[in-house]
Amino acid sequence: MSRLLRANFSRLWKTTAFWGCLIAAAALGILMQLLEGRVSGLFRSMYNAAPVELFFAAVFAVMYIGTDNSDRTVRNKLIVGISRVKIYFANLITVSAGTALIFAADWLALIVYDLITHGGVEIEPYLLALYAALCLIAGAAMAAVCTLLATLITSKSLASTLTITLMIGMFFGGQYILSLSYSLSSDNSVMSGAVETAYNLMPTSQIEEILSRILFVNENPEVFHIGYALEPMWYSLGLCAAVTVIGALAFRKKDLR
Amino acid sequence: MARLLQANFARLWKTKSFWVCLILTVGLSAMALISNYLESPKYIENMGGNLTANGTGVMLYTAILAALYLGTDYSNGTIRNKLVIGRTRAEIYFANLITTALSGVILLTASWVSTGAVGLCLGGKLGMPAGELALDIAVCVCAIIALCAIFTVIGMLISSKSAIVTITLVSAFALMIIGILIQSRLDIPEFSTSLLVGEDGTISFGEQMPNPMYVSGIQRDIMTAVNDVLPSGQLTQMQMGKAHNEGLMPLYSLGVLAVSTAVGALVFRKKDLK
Repeated sequence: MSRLLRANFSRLWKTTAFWGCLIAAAALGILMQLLEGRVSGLFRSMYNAAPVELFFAAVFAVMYIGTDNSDRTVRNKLIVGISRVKIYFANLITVSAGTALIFAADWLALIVYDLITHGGVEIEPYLLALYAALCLIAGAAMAAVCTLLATLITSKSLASTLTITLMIGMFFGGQYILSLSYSLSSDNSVMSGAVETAYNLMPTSQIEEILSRILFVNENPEVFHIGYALEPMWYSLGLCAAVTVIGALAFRKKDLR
Repeated sequence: MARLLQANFARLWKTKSFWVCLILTVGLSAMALISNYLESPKYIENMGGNLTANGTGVMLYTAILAALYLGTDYSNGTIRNKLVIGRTRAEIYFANLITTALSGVILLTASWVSTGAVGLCLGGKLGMPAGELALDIAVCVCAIIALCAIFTVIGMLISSKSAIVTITLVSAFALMIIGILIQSRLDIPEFSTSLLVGEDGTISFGEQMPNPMYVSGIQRDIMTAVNDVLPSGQLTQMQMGKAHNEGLMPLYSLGVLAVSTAVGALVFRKKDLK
């Protein structure tokens, strides 16, 4: 497994898609702040840029794993005796690390932007660190979803299409689903609960929830304790675990032509 | 060229992605109208506005279709076959452009038919003069064609199907986001009114004060011009009902079409088709 990870990471540093997505995420994050017009604090800047980071991390993930399928290196790994589960987990770890690096690059760019514009840190530093950690966990959940799609769909272009469309759908659909759950809550609490759970399972929504809860904790520390801010993390971890188990099991049975 | 177009369209009708995008367009347009109607029945009193509000969604489906359709040409090596039998690069480029543009218009028309049919069933009214609707339709059609020209440039100049798909969809997403961000900045009101709460709890309005977030001067002019020129910006304005320059927008779209086609065709002439 360690040799597989070493090989994966050495390929990661040479992957154009990784560097392209890293630079694009950082550049678009800054562009969004410039279009915002006002000087935002670092926390708000990080929040504004989060969907862009998730989007580019998804693009990188599907391109990275899709190359394994298109170049048929998966079969080579199997021939040398590496199990399918190890291949799956190695890809998941690599993609999660790549996602974390894309987030980190964007945050670094935003810190530099914040230093230049003097937006300042508008929440407690420990809450900022907590937000970053929870974003990374949500990013890992998104990486797990992308790993599942990219591993099980042999066609790289089809995997790219589905993943990017899914990300755009989550980006725009999250708020719609949330308003649907509110409108259902008075008529049908079961449906409302189901829709709300669907909303909470989307990585884009998890990041929005993390933001709003951390703001509540920052502004009303006597009412909201830190556990309140940690709740979305359980959805992220649950999604990551469930998707990984399903993906690994499905990959074990997949016919690798 | 006619035979090339015939072949392109024959392939288009057999392409699964075309039918999937068509079904998605029809289904999601109908669902969007029904969902808005359930939220507010008055929504269908302006069916003209609803018809032209689906442009940004159609833009995404068009991007998917264009990317997969054009990418297949490279992945199957059919571009080289077309050159071998004597077709010029310019003919191939323009045939693909026309096919992509018409498929975008078909998807747009399908969304209108779907929205119009559901609106009729719900007893909707046009809500605007026919001339104004015709102009809005012209804006949407020209914007989609201009976007197809941009997607064709990407699809014809990149050799890898997966790279075509990724870059086309990322470009479509980025154009959409830029349109939305610019429009939301331009929508910020010039003056803001403060709310005053009296000692007895009554709420009254204070003075109107200049809004520091309001974009004015040259910056506003530039942002307005960019939003009007970008086809995604035009579709966003149509969606939000904030279009103000409908007379000029088709001309801007045709300009984008001309520039992108010229650049794409020239570069494609020199491209090494491995």
